[in-house]
Amino acid sequence: MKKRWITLMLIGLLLAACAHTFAGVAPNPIGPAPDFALTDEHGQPFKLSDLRGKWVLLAYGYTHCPDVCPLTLSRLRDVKKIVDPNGDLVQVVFTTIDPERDTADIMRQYVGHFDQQFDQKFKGLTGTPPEIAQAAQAYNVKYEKKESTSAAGYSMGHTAEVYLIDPQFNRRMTFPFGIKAEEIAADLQYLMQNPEAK
Amino acid sequence: MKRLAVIGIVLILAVVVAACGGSSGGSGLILSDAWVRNPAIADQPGAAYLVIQNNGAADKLLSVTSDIVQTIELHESMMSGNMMQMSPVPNIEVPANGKVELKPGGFHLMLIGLTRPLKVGDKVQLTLNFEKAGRIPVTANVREQ
Repeated sequence: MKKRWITLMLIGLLLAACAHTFAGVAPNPIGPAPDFALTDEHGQPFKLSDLRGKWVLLAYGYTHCPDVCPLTLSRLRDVKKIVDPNGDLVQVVFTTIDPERDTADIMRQYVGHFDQQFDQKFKGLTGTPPEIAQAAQAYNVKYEKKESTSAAGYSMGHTAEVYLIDPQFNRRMTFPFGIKAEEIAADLQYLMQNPEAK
Repeated sequence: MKRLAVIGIVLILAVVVAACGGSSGGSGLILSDAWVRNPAIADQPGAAYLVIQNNGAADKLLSVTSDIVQTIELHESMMSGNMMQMSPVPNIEVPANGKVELKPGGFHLMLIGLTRPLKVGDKVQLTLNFEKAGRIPVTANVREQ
């Protein structure tokens, strides 16, 4: 009788340890991540697939965005801090959808603000307007220029999701805007330990 | 006896005001949790946020000034379709006996043209101008997030 209780308790513990509810949404089926070629924050050619072998957190936005984009980037900084503070397994990538204003130099300054505490630096990508259009299209990112009366000039409307790519360069998860760093970190840690999970 | 009652009322008021912990400027508005996001690039637009609690009649935030920045605009970020859009707004309504939260992804103060560099831990003064309550100052902390 006692033995049975112990067995049941062990099964319960095991189930509790295994159960993980993903905060992000997995693509169905899981397949290869779309690739694109842009220019990195040092002005060098850069292909997203150069990051094969790492877990990639990919976000799109623009540096004249004072509200939404810094929120996303500070959350990705917090994810990096929780999951991989001293390593080079988790790579944050920020791609502009405002190539008119965001030069490689501005991207370097911008991502450089968020990666100060890490040895592994964030990537900040820009390109020509057609290259950016292609890189956005690849992940179904929508964006549009919106003229404004603001002294800060025009603004850019854009989808604000974060995409997770695994070391085999498969697209694994989409995180909605506003998701907490802890939620992304929990999904990422779970996938790192259970690479086959869906 | 009457004097005691007056002292009592004054004491109660003092406790109430102290408990609020925000600036009110004599109106029903209480400003709290004001903060400025440490800007990633100093000469690009920045943002500031706060909570406006209203214990009186409806009012409107019309404008904000500060000596740290040339221009402050009222903006709103909102999800439209599946795109995040940001637009200037003419004012921000503060409902009667309610509150409005300026927070990331919603209403915010856009700071354009910083007059001096900021760093985390700095305290900056913002002056909010309301339609009815007039000018109310608040101190904002510079934070990362």
